[in-house]
Amino acid sequence: MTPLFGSREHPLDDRQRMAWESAQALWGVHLHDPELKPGAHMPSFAWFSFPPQVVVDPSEAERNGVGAFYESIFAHEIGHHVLSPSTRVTSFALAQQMARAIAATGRDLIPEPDAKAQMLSNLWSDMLINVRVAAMQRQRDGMPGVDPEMIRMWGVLSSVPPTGQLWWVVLRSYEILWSKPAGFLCPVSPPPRPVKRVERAAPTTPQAADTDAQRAKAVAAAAAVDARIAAEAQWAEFVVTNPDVDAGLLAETVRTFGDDPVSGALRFGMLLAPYLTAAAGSTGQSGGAGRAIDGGCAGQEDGAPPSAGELEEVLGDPRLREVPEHPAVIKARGAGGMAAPPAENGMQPSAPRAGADAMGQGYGVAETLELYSAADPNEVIAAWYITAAKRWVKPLTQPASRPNSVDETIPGALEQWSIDDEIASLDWSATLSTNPTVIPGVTTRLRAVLPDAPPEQRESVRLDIYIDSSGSMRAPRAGSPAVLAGTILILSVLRGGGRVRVTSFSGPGQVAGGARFTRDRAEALRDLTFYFGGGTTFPLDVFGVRYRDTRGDKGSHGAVTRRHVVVLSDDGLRSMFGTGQEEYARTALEVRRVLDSGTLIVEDRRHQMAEPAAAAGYDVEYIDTMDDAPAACARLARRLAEPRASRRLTPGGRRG
Amino acid sequence: MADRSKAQHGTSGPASAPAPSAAEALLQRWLARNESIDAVWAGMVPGPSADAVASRIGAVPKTFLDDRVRVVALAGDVLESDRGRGQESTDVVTVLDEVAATGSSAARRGAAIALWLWAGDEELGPLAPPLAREHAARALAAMAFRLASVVDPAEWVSDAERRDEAARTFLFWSGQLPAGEDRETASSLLTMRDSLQRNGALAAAAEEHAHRLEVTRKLQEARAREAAARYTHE
Repeated sequence: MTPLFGSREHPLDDRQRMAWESAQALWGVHLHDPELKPGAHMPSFAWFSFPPQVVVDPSEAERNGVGAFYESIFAHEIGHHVLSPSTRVTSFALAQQMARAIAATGRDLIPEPDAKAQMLSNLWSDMLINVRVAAMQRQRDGMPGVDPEMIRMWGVLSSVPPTGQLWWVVLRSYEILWSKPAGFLCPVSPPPRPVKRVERAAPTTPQAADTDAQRAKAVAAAAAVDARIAAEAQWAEFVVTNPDVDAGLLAETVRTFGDDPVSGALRFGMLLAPYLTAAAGSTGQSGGAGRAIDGGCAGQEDGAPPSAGELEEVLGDPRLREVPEHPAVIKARGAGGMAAPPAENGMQPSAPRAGADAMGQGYGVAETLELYSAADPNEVIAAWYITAAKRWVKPLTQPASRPNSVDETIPGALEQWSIDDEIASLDWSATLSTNPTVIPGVTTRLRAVLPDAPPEQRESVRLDIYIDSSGSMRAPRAGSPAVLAGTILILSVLRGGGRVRVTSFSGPGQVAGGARFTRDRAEALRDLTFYFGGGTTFPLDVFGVRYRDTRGDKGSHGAVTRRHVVVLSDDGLRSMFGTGQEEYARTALEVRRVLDSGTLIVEDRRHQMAEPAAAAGYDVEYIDTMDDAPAACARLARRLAEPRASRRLTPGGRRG
Repeated sequence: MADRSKAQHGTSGPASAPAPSAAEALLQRWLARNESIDAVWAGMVPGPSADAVASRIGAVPKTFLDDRVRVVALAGDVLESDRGRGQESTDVVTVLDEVAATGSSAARRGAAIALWLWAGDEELGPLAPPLAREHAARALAAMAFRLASVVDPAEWVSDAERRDEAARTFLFWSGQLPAGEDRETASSLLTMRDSLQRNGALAAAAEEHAHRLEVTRKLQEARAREAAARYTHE
């Protein structure tokens, strides 16, 4: 465990103490002493952790030849707490940006993509910090012709030429940023890109078929598979890397985004992710046996997984919605050479798990789960759907059950009272203050009474949600439109002060969820994302029992509470109308009679639900893709919020 | 080696460069001079540091950048002491006449900044070693036609990196080696800053990325066709 205060076992010596003070002064901060851990067996000689702690392995620093550069070592690690990532949330956001860049480049092409995202994230922070520290040292020392200590330290750290192109690009961009001639930190030319031998896949054998027509279709299907495999092979092989150009663009990115690590991280990732693909060869370690990890900093020490709040903050960051594009493409567009990006998909072909990017985060829930594998999966899924739904959420309320008072008035201006007016309307105090001598019709006054139109009374909504979690529905982990729609409804109702009850159902006896209505968002989302993956049988027994006795169904002040039901399912919802459970064939119809609204939001391309739903009095909203879910929810919310005027005043007035 | 070989690519600048057609016209004027880089290196003499020249560029008076000021007249004032130096003076006037003929604000301001570098000797004191004037026409052409075609002179003043590029470009085509640098270092740093070369490389890289997008699109189509074929088969 990291101690809160500096190590007493290995106190700083005078030289280290002076360097520590100087490094703090450089950043203008005061931290508790760093911890010295000789022989820590970490990948490098320095690292950091949260809560803010700097750790250095002095023996490893000496071994790497940087024992004379403690100010820069300390300043670098302090920079992680001051500049980048500076907070845990930012560190997660940086990793998320790198993961998005990797996904856009081709997640399948990069070995260990999540570990690579962490590596890129640390490398990006390192570059921002090193450039800033060198600039601050140059400004402080102001000695012409003498390089700042940070640059001199890098002269030592880069003594072993890089074997991979990625690290060459990084070192070359340092040369550009520090105005050093080519060859100062790395060879003038980049290492050659390794040649990968690609084995061609054997042609696909068509499936056996009985008839000529079937045989022709099987051959066409096999040809389509072969075409896809060939296209994938070409896509995997044709990875664009231009070390010289990319080094210049990287330097520009570091300069431009020096104060905004999260925004710049995506461009950084898009620049370097191609070098991580199998086609581009090694990851570019410096290659010197026994030397520190590239960059000299081991990054963040085994941080705890993100909490639910941190996840929500990270996933909700609007900077994580920028379209991933290579900086060369951005510059070409700026010069008018290329068209605007098509959508948020970036350069990533649509994956078989469709819909991930369409939800607006540019990163699917499955990939997010993998990235945060150490975190609670329920929290990751909930945070993902909450942030995906957030832009669609509006407080959902409905007109109050009690009609507005119509006899309320407010006093208006003083007017002259004439003898035709009601005597009771005479305002004596106003009359006498006008003139002590009362002359009817002349000095008499009355106070006009104006009708008051009080603001429309509104009340919160109580929504009963049933979600189909059978195998035919997309699982929440794969990006489910139904779950997104449900999340939008839950958040809208809760934000309007209402309550929800969520029931997840699948085959017979497979029913999950709370029995009561709740305002607990976590509980509602946990029920919503519960997934059985079995058959589809709508729990008509539970449904019927819940709405059999509605006498005690009262809201506040004894008013009758409106009852709204939403069912999220697919064409397997025919069971709701008795298919397969004939003994409950009339349950849906009978329940509908005591409901104010009953809406089915279904993934049903053929609209098979239209007839039975109409017969039972349920509204149907069809959704085919993720993109349809928000619109369906918006229509439903509008209906709940503004029921037709003829039916608006009486609770239960819209009941079947 | 002629500079032409490095200038075959597009001229889309990294920031607010002149419009492509105007930029192309300026660049063509430079290429028409057919200057030899090898000849410049062969005649190199020691010059002031790039930082000192860059600093002077940053101090250019606004009057020099005013489009109403005629550069030929300005040169007459600035290079007055060079009158009577025969061919070089004539060449300077020729270049500045060309600058005026282009009607390009970028070229005019580029030439004006180059003139300011010499004029600064009188205003701010000479640099050590002083800026050479033997190749004034070549340096003026490099600044007005070559560099101004890809980077707007306003950026030479506002952006540190572009200022360094302008200083190095001026020193190189003036035939002076920046103080404290050997030929390899100076060559490397000039190449590193050279927007003309970089734009060419960027244009090529952008084409490759466009091709990658096309490959990606074909893969998406292949996947869609496969899904459709499978659905039909089932």
